[in-house]
Amino acid sequence: MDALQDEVESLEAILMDDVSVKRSASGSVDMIETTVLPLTGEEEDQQYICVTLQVLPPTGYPDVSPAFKLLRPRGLDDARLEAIRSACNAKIKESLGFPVVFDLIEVVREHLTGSNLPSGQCVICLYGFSDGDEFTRTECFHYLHSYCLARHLHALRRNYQEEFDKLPAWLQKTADPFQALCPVCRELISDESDSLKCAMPPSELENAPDFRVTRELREMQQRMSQLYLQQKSRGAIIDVEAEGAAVISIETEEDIRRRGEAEAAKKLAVPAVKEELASKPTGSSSCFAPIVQETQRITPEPTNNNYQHHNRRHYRGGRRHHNHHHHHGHGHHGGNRGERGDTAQSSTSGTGGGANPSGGGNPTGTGTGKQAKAQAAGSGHAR
Amino acid sequence: MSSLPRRIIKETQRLMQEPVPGINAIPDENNARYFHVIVTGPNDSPFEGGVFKLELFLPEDYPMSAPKVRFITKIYHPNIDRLGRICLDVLKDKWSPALQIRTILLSIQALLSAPNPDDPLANDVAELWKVNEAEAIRNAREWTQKYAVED
Repeated sequence: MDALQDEVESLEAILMDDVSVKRSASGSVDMIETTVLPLTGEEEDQQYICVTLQVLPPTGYPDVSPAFKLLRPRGLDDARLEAIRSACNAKIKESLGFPVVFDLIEVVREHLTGSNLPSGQCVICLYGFSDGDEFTRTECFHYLHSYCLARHLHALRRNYQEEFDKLPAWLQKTADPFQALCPVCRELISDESDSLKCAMPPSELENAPDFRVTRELREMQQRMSQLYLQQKSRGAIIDVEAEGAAVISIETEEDIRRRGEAEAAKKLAVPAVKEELASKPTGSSSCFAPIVQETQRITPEPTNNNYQHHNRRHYRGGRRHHNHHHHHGHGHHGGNRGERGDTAQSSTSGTGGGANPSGGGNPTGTGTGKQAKAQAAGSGHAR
Repeated sequence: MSSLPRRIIKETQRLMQEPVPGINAIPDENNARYFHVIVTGPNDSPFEGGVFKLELFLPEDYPMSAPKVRFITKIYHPNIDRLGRICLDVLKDKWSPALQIRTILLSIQALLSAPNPDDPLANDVAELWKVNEAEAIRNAREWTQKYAVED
């Protein structure tokens, strides 16, 4: 018991705010938790990955091995997490009878420092991070190709503007300002569209294989259409025309071209046609009507192309800092974010047209947040 | 099928190779952005046993905009209207490019398990669902039997 108290005291003395210890009512230590980052010298904005190590010392520790958990991994896929886990297990085994928490932190840190590059894939393009790819780490420790993030931010801004323009003037005055959101967890992130604009597309994306129609796919297509015919014969298929509206439907390339031309002409005549149906105009028409296509593509305006990573020093991801009064920073990037969950949640919702559905305009803490930008591998952090 | 984005190709391949139980989505022969979809009714829901057809279209700027999805098979549900259109936040303002065809279809399947009459799209259905849930569920079962259960 005393050995554990000693160990915790020295952990707290050295890691200070970076370690959190939970004690039971009787004062015994239940849980020790710390977020581990790779060693990158003083360059905190080059810490691309992290994981929280939680150690649960049992009664009898250190003569009984402690349990541990790896929580809130960022930029680590399952394989790498598993490698860290087994290294920790080995360390625990060989250290039986001795305090092991410091050693565990060291084991995790070594792993992270060894390859300070996100594994896994960019959620936007679904490809990985290769050498030379420019990527961005959000304040919430999610990784995206800078190119992909730029497209996302552009689309967000466009949607915001569209919703904003629909509002009557008196509501526009009180509408929430635009807020950039992380595509993974919907946390607020800083909008760096200007500096991301020049990012090159990721390399894997450029070299991906083409799609081929396989025999298996043909068979599935046939089964699908059989089912369709079978349901149709018993009146189970929604008859869109009888309901008096048009929705998406399969069209041949020829149909599409013809309808596209017709719609483009209509658009010129009546510029303010609103969506009567969720899917009709923007969907199938956009790939052939050149007018529509032009507006939907990402067209980075050539203004304001400042590359400089201004404000980088404000980046708040770091934790191995000597000052110990930045609690709020910790709460933000460690605990809170994790608890929100890493996946986008869904629920039913109204069709309501609020300008900023996510209730943006949050005044707290994003002002200083900066995304870390990086050149993957070699060039990035080799200096 | 000119210059289909890599992401769509990758999603399609994964849908074929690792299908989600109860969900089937395959691209159309002539348009790889158009998917024929089957979602089976979840167990312990009034839609159990039903095989529902949907159509899904990936717009030009997908994944920056949400897929367009619609039920083709008739279904009695407070959040799905008579045209098969679906009221689901992730298809509208809560869309994120981190979502995929498979996650959207899973959300739709989940919507079948958890109808939400307080946020209706089909008003008459939602009304009945609120005032007489038993009867509404009976209707949903009947429709499922009549239209979506394979012989």
